[in-house]
Amino acid sequence: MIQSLKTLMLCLCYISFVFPQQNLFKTSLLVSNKQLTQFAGFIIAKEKGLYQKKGLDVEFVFVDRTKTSAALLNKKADFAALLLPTAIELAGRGEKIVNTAQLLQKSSFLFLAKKSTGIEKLADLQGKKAGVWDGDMSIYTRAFMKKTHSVLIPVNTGSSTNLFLMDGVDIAIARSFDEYHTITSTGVNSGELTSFSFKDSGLDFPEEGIYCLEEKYINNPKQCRDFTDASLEGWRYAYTHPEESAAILIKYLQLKNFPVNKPHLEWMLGLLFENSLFKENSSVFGNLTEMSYEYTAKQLLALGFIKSIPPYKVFFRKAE
Amino acid sequence: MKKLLKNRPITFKMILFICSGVLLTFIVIFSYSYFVSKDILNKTIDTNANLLTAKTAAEIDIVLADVEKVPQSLSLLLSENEYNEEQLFTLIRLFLKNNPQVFGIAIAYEPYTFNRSRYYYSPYVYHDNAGIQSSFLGSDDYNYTQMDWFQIPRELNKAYWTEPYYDEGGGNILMSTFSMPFYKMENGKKVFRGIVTSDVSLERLTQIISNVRVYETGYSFVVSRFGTIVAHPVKEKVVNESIFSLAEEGKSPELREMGRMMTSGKTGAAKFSYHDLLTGKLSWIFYAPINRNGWSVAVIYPLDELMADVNRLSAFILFLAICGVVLLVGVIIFVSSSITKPLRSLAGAVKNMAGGDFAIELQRIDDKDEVGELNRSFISMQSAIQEYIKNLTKATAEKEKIESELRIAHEIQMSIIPKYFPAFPDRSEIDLFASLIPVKAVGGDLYDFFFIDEDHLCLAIGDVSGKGVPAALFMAVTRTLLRARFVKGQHPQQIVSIINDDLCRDNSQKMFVTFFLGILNVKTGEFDYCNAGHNQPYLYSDGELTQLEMFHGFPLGIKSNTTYRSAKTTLKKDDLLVCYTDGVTEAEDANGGFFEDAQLEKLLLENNQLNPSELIPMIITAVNNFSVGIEQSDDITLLALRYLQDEPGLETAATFFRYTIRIRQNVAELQAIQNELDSLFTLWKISEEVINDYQLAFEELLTNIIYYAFAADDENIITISINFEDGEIRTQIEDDGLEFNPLNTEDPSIPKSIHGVKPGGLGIFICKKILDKIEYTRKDGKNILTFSKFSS
Amino acid sequence: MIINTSRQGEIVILDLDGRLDIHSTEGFKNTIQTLIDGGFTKIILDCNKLSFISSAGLRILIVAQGNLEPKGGEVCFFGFNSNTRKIFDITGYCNLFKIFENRLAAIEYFTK
Repeated sequence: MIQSLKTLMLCLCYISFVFPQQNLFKTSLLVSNKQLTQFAGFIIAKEKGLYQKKGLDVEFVFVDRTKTSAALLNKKADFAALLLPTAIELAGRGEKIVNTAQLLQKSSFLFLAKKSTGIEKLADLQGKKAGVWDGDMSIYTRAFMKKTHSVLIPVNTGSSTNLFLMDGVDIAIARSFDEYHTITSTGVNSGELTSFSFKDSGLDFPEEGIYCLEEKYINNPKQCRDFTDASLEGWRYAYTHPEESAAILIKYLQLKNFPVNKPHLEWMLGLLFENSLFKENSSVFGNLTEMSYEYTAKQLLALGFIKSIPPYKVFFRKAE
Repeated sequence: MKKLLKNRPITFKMILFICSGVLLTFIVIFSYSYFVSKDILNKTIDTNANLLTAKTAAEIDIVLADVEKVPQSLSLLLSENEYNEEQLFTLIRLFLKNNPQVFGIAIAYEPYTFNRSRYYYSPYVYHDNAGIQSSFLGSDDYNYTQMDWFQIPRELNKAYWTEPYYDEGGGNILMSTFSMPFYKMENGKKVFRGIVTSDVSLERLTQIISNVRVYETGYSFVVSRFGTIVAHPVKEKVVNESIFSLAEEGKSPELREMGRMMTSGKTGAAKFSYHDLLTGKLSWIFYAPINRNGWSVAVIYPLDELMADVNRLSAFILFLAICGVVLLVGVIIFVSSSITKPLRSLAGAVKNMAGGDFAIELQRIDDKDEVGELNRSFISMQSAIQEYIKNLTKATAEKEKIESELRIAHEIQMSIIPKYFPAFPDRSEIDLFASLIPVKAVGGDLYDFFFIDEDHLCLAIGDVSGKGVPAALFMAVTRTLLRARFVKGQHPQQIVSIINDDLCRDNSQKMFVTFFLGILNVKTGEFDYCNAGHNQPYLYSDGELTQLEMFHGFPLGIKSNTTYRSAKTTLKKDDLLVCYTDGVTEAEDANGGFFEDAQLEKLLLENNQLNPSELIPMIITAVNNFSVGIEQSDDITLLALRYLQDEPGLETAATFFRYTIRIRQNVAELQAIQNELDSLFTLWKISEEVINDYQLAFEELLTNIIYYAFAADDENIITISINFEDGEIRTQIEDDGLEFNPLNTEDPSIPKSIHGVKPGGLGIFICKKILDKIEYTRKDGKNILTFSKFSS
Repeated sequence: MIINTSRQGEIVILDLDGRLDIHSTEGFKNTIQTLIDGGFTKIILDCNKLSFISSAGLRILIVAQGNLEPKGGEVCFFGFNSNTRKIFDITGYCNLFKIFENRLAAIEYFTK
């Protein structure tokens, strides 16, 4: 009897040793089905086993990027990468979401126009057809139009820049590290484009951060922390090992039948790195400063997108 | 350049020059042909490539055109008619069935336009393994209104080919969708109703381009209007990459530019230094648009394969050229060696010859060319030199033999003539000198002199016939006989006769010698002589030059027992005897003239006062000067004797005294004469009173003559002759001045006082008084004044 | 001719040694002139050694005398030999000059 018990114990120990994932905490992250590349750090973390190290089994749940917040609120996944203005607007509406890490500190949003259409200055934008994103991204178009007093005719485009390239719209919203390069990769020279950056328009908002529902955070603080740390670890790795990371990402994305090419990936990683303000020896990575928060929140308040500024400490859950 | 060529063998030079020339020509020809053929090739390639590219584009176009037919037809139908759902499906199923190249057909309606309650309404049929399937497009996850295939043709109101994509549904098929908007007329206005699409697999395209054969490794690819790779031999690149991402990756701005050309629908070729990403080779890219949808097809031409033919040709030509040059070098070496080899051996042989080895064997060359000629010339030159050396050696030996003989002869000659002068320094009666200038071949002259006894001097001079050693020997024999046979007291003709007989005795050569022998009694001046055919000697005596009497017999050695005579003369003091041989008078000058007797006589006359030791060299010098340039042909011999002995006794003392003086109108020259007269009168033992009177008259007369007969600047000649005979001193003064008779002068009167002294006439008056006789005459332009004074 | 000069008071005695001929007249003349220039006008010619005199000599004596007379002087002679005396006689010049037997006589003449 004791013998069989011992054997059972041994077996269990052996099993737990060999199959450690039996004890892994399952969690999930919402990833964009069309902008998978932008989740480079998360993919690195997954592929390099950083989540596993933390005892996490992370699943990527694909969603349309404009519907990410809805999916998070509907508990389609535990974590999501949301844009700060979007998140503040939600929080301002009373949604209970928390930010566990800020990935991008600087704005990458911009409106692009072809010089050949004669658009050169802000004033030229008046009444123009603009290719824009709805859902989670809509706040940007709204903020821009309000801030710059530009009356644009919005046309909701999906992830494609082709309508703009085909001259179906006069201007198109884009992110510097992604769509901008996609457009120049169709042969359009940067000199042929006029860009109106949100930064220059006074809307230099920090962008993606790691969010989860407040209740999730309260219930599983360790796992949330672990996930956040591992993710940050992943992003760190991506920034410090760009060559290796690019190779890993290309392989992963190709497997997922996601169109990817090295130049675009290198461009993206480079600018993400830039916007992350990541410094190798700094421990500040992933922090959302109160100042940045206040800056963004105040703007949104001024633009009328929130009635009040949600408290910083509630919004951002810093690592202890 | 000169340094390069200096001291190099001919072969090298030939190779250098010929090869340089050939290489230069070749390079020119080759370069030209290479570039021309390259140019032609380029044009050909351009044409061919453009054709190929266009053809490929056309083929793709056909495929695409095929696909376009479905939506075109459908959109037309949908514009005209209203269909219900079932009808729609039937319609599109039918179209799908009849168009196997189409993968799927959809009709996507503008939201709420088919069914007011339905946002999404898009019937869709497609092929799969099981057959034709039906479904509906559109969901929260798939909002087709924001899809390119819907939104773009809707916004642009025109048909649209989508970018290539991988179909998510079934098995990773590369697809592109052709969508066309369809409209409905509402209230007279065309209103957008929806989009008709047909999906086409791009496999067909892939097939087309894979069939494109471009040499070995060339290939073709297709890009979309945005440069996205639509079809490519490398599947991974399709959709993932665009021409621009390739350009970015390859860091090639030229490729990006080419991409822009393609995406803007241009036809052309990119000929920049593009290393193709696929083949890694340097390539050209030709592109042409597929106008239907703005896509573009490109064909890669690997340059090495393009140029393969030209390069192959060039390489072969180069190879041929190298072979040619090598062959040329070989030929040159062969040819030049056929020239240089004999030349080298010739040079070596000649060098040996120069070193003295004349017997060296020169290789014969039978060739009739220049080298052979040279060789033959050298061989004949060699034998000529050998012959010459042989002859020269012989001639030199002979010459040396002759030379030695002549030397012997010369020595014989020189040894037997007395050479030391003064010959008899202690004999003051005579001044004797002789000189023999021999000719090289030895002319056979001889002279001799010796004292027979205290008072008698023997002189001999002769000239042997012939030249050389025989003459010298004969000369020696003659001289020996003279010395040996001479007996004291014998007359010259006797001695000569004896010598002649001896010479005739053993004279097998029939030689002879002209001979003159004389015996001088140095005390009395008596000179006996015998002339056996020799040149008559000259005697200068008292201002006259005569020759001693002629021949007294034959030259010696001709006939024995012949008669010889002799002659006799007496030498007076200062008489000069000059013997000579015909080497003097027969000396030739450059014009063929001879010195001749006359010239010798003239010399003797003019230089009679010279000592024999001065006279003879002078004559010899004159002869040499005369015959300058002409080689002496005979011995020149001269023997001269001046007799110095005073005559014994006053009774034979000279009583004749003549002075010839040249004077200007200057009485000073008289002084010398006046002094001489003093001595002379003393010698003549004339009394002092007479001398005084004479001198007085002499001075007075001559002074008058000088002053009156002579003009101031003239040099006049006065000849004064004084003869003392029978106590009468007879004087004649002859002058060539103006006619002047001093006797015409009036006698002055006896003066009473010094003031009464009249000038002139005093001297003459005195003369008249003190002289015994005085006469004047003018004859032949000369004044002749004769006066006498008796000595007693 | 050599002329040896000696003085006795204001009298000069010239000892003539040699020939007084055409060759020596010039020298003689110069001697006389020198004496005249020197103030000596009483000149005695000693002719003991005079071997010869020609007409030229005679003439120069005339000249000398002619030069002396205005000065109150003259030339006189002694010691002629037969040859030299002869010429004076033939020409009659013996009348023109004072000829003495001996030196004493000549000197005596001048001291008077």
